[in-house]
Amino acid sequence: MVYARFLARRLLQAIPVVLGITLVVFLLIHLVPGDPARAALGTRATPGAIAQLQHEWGLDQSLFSQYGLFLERLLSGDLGTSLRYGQPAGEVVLEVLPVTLWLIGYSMVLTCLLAVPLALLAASRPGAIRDRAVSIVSVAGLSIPNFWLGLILVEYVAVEAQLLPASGFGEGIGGHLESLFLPSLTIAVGIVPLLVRSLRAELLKVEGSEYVVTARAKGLTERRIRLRHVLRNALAPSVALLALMTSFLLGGTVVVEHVFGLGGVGEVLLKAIYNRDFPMVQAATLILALFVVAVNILGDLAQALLDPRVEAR
Amino acid sequence: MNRPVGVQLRRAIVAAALVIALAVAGCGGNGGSGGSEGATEAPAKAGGTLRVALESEPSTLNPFQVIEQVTAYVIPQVMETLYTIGPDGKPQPNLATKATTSKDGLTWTLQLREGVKFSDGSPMTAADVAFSLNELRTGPYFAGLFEPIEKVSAASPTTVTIKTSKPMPALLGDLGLFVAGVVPDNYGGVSEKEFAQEPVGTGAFALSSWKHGQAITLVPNKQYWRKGQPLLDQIVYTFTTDENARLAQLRGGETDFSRATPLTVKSGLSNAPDVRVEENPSVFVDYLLLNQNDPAFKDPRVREAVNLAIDREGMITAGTDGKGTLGASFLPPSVTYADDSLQPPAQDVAGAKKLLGEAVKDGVDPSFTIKFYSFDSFSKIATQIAQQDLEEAGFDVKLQALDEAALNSQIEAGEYEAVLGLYLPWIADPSELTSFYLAFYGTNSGADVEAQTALAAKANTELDPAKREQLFIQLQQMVADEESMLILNYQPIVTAVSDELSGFYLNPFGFVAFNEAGFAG
Repeated sequence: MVYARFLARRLLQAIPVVLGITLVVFLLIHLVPGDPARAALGTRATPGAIAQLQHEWGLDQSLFSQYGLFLERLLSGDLGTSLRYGQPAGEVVLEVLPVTLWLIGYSMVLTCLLAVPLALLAASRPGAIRDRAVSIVSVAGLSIPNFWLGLILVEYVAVEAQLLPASGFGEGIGGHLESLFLPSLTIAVGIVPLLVRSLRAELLKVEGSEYVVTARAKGLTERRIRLRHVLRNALAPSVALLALMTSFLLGGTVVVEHVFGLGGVGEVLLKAIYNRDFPMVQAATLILALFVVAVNILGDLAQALLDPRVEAR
Repeated sequence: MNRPVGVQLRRAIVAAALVIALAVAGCGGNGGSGGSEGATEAPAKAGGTLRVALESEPSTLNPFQVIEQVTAYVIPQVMETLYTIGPDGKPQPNLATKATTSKDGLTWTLQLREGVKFSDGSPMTAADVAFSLNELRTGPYFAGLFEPIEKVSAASPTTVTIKTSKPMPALLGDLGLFVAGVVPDNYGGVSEKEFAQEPVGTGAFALSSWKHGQAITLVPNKQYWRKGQPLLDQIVYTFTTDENARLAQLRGGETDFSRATPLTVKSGLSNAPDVRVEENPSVFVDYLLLNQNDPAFKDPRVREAVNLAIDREGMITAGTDGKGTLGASFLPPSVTYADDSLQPPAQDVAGAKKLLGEAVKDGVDPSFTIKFYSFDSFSKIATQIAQQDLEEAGFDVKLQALDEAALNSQIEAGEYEAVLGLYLPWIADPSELTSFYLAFYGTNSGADVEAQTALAAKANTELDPAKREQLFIQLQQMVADEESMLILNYQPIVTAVSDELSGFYLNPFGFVAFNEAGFAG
């Protein structure tokens, strides 16, 4: 019951957030110089053809009425029609959404697989060589730009060694796992250090707490103490951090999708901005915004479940 | 644990602003390409799938609504034109076998090839051709080019008559535009929108599937009129925006054909033995456009100073890996009647300094900004060279990269001082590029287009080839003398392909037909 109320409240709060995002994106994309009709038809088109297209696409109306029209359509579940492709913009985005979701999910999994052991290793003896080694590796991971790392991985792992595909989404689950390994790793390398740092600090904090001392006094095995008591309690803040990082992850996917030619939502969004395909930009941002809000809510929920002291308010 | 709505909103705004700003400021990657004659050392065998990496997804496969040049790699496989443009730039019969004109040059009669069928099995007739030509001439681009056409009609099932108000000596060449494809009359009964998604043509291939955002797949057209063609079992087009990612796919053996490869590609391919680079004769024109509506560039001395100051040779060496060609005509060598005797002045920084000094004494402000397209790797290098040279001559130059949509709009609105950019002719006949130059660059740079337009109109209707050539040479001189559109060099189109692939011909105007292409046995 507490959780249901919590969920309902968070969902209501999400509405103004998402609407705010669409308004800001709408204004931003219209502020940028470049007319969609000219962008679509290129420098060769006749002025008559451009004027006709502007009229067809409703671009000769005021900004206010264009946004009004967008909201009106949105209420009936219509995200508008892509100017460039003449297809429902929402459909185009949903068609490529699996690519981005796979990429984000895969990156999360890789992040956890790398960050948890590293944090445990570092926290097992603070200040020791292993701790310092982990922190050096973290700083390196944090400072490598992901587009550069992506290019290096493509060059040496995919092209030279031919171990993994250089690009694409692959066919079937096995294909996705194979094709998306390098892109996901590229993203993971950038966020693993943040998670390691937060998790290590929490582990050390929990390690010094009274219930751990008690558990130790009761003679529980070190392994049991670490996994059941220390790690579980230390994880809660990191889960929230991981949820928060999805927004950064989305930014990262735009770049990584481009480098690896994945054609997900990030790539569609980028292309739509180049083309000044306003409805497409709106649809992609809206769907991504919904995704971020959903993940944030889930993160808070997961944290409340992991740690009963975090009230589901 | 609730974060205030304000914080979430602020974060989202910052993220959205960053993405848009980055995209506009230019971390882009698209360009044009084409190629040269395919090497045919190894005889191609039948079968196999050709995997082509394009830099973006075509938005339509209706030839008359084509927006992106990238579509030129797909449409010619599915639809054919009445004439094609041969390696010599001359029109060659294709779906038409013969064309005759009346004495006054106002009536054309086109004889159609017999036994040609669309991929749905219906025969191609004059009604289909008449419908197609009427759609073409009313499309968004060619109203100007085909303006003299008054009527296209089917005189018999195999004869088409075209009536024009003025002589059109370039008509057959114009019909070699890749967008001049022949489609079924009235789109075969479906709507224009439906046809754009599921086109039908007489080409060697037919559309099998189009998964948006992922791939376009073509299979052989069983009705194809050229016996024994095509050789390939399938063509699959995928879309990868980043040029380095496209090249990595090729080198990793994931594709066979990589469009729009950077000019400086050779060094990156030295360790890729299975890949060869095809280079096309100089097609792209790199220019520096000076806006005469700007008070400084209104002064001819300042324009001349810019023309003298820039190091074109340096741009060719650094920006094109030595592949560019020098020239001063706005028509590149691949266009008929291009005047290759028209050459830019030798670099003379001292002379430029003197001219600018005089102008500055008369109150001219020597500072300006060069805007350029962020997607083009040549422009990035050339603008830096220009900036250095011009500052040596006494100018104060700033550089600004913009994405294509933004810069095109600013050129159109006259919101620039100088632009470094590039363009590509669509056909060999100079009429197309001339009308484009006058309508876009000429008009939007404050150049004196009136006399040039009159001369172009005369040249476009002149039936005597020798006189026509003279008129176009005069026009090229006129544009060069104005020193508003400074030509930097002509660039080849570079395409990287799998070494196993042969039997294809890359048209110098950026398109390719794969009907004879195949892999080595």
